[in-house]
Amino acid sequence: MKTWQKLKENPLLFQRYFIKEYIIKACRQFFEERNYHELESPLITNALPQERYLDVLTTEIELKGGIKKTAYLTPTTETYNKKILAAGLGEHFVITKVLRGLEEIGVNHSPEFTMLEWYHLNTDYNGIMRDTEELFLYILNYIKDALQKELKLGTFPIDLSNFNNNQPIITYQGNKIDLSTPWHRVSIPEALKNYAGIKLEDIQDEEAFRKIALEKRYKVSEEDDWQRIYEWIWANEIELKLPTDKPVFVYDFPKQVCVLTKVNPANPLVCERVEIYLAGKEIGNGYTELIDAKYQEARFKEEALARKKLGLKEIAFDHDLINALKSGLPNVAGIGIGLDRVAMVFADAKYISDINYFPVSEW
Amino acid sequence: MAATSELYRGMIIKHNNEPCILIEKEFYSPGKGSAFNRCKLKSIKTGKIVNVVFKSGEKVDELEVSTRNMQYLYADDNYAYFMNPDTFDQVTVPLEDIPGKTDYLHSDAKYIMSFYEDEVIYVQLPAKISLVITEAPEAVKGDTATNALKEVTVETGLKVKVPLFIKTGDKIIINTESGEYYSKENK
Repeated sequence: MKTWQKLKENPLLFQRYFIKEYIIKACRQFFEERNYHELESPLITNALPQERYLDVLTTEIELKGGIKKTAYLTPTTETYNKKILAAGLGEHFVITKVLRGLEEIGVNHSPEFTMLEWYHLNTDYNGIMRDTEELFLYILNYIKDALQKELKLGTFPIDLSNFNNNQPIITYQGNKIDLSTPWHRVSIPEALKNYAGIKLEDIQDEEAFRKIALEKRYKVSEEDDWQRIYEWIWANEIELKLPTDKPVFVYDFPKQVCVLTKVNPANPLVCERVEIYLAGKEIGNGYTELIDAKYQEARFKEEALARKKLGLKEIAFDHDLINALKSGLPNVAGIGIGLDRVAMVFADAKYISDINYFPVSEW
Repeated sequence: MAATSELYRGMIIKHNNEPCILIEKEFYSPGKGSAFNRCKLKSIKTGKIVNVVFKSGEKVDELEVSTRNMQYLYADDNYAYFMNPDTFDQVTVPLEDIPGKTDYLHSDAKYIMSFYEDEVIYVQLPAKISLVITEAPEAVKGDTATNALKEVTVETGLKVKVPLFIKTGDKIIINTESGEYYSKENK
C-alpha cells in the first residue's frame, strides 16, 4: 500500500507530514526574524568539494550541439554557501532537497532528504551550537501553535498528546527528550578515551590505529583507511552510549575526517566540527568553516587521491570554490541539519519513510 | 558465508564462535562517511543481546535453520503454545521471546518460526493483524468524528489509538511493528 492510500484509509497519519511541513516553516521564520537571506541552491552542478566517502549521484545532460556533460546531484550545499559568502551576501540559510547515493534505504536513510543549512558570521562552532538550541525550542513552539490551529480548523484529526505540556519535552518512541538548554556537549577525544579506551594521540599513524582495531577484534583489512576504522569504532563502541535524555553535541573531530573545517588552534589533532545527536540519531553537522584557500586545496587533493585509491568514482574538482576562498571569506560558521530526521523525532515516527509522502522505499 | 547486504532478521550467524540470532538490522552510514550495518545479535545459548556493527561488504558466517508455519493455541503467564498444523506437534515459546508478548497472538494469524537444532529461536509476527475491539469509550459529546483520537482495547488486551468512529465489536487492522492502528476491517 502506498502512502497516499494509507492516508486515505487513516487520516490520523496526516499529522506526521504536517509536522515536517511546520518544521520547514518554523526554520524559515526563525532565520527571517534574524534577518538572514534565503539562498536558493541548485540541484545539479558541474563540480563538487572532494570528500572521500561521499557517494555522489550523477546524471547526464545534453547541451546544444549534442555535447554531453556529467552533472552531479547536489549532495550538500556548502560550495554554494561559500561562494555566495565570498560574493558578500552575508548571513543566509538554505532549505533544499539534497541527494546522496546509498547502498540501502534504511530506518534513518533515504537517498533524498531535506537539508537546512545556515551560515553565521563572526562566530565559531560554539555559536552554531547555541543557534541550534534556540532553533529547536522555536520549532517546538511553532509545532504546538500550528497543531492547535489545525485542531480548531477541524479538517484533520489531530493528536496533541506529545505536545500538551508546558515543558520543552517531547517523547520519541517511548523515551523522553528534554530540549531545554544547555544540551549535552561531548568532545570526541574524551569520548574516544572514555568509551573506547583510545587516546587520539596514539592513533595518528594509520598502521598503529589498524593494530589497535585488530586487537579489539575488528576485522579490519588493508583497504580500511583511517576514517573507516574510526567510523567503525565510533558506531560500535561510542555512539550508542551517548546520552539520549537531551540532544548531544559531539565536537572536536579528528582532523583526518574533516575536509572543510578549521583546525582547532588549541589542539591541532582536531578540527572545529560538531555533530548533533537527537534521540540517538545524527541530525546535523557543522563547522567553523575553513577559509584558508591553500589549505583547502591541499585537503581536496588528498581526498581526491583517497577516492582514487578506494576505487570510488572521480568527482570534478571545484576550482571555482578555491578561487572564491582566495578572493576572501569572512570568519563564519555553518551547519547542515537533516530535517527529515528532525521530523521523525518530533512526529514520533520510527522510519524516515513515515514523514515523506512519496518515500523511495515505496518504488 | 553471507555478505552484509544479505543479512536479514531471524538469520542465524556465528559470531565470536557462538550461534546468534540476528534480531535487528539497520543500514547505517555516518554523514559523509562510509557504510555499515548496525545489528542486534542474541546468543542462542545464553540469551545475551549484543550490539554489533558490521562494515559493509564484511562476510558473516551463516548457519542453517529451518522455518515452519505455526498456529497459535493459547498462552499462560509465561509461555505461548503453538502447533504445527501439519503434524499437530506442539511447541512452547517463552513470552519474552515474542515481540509484544501476547499483544499480537491470535489463532487466525500465521506465525513463522525458525528452528535451530529443534529449538525455536525466533517467532516472526505477521506484519498486520486483525483484532476485535472489546472496549471502546463512547465519543465525548462535542467532539467531531475527525477531531481527536481515543484509546481502545482489543481482544488481546493491547491498547490502540483509533479514530472516534471506531466502536466496540469493530475489527481493526494493526501494524504489529509499530502497534499503530492501520484501518478498519470491512466486514
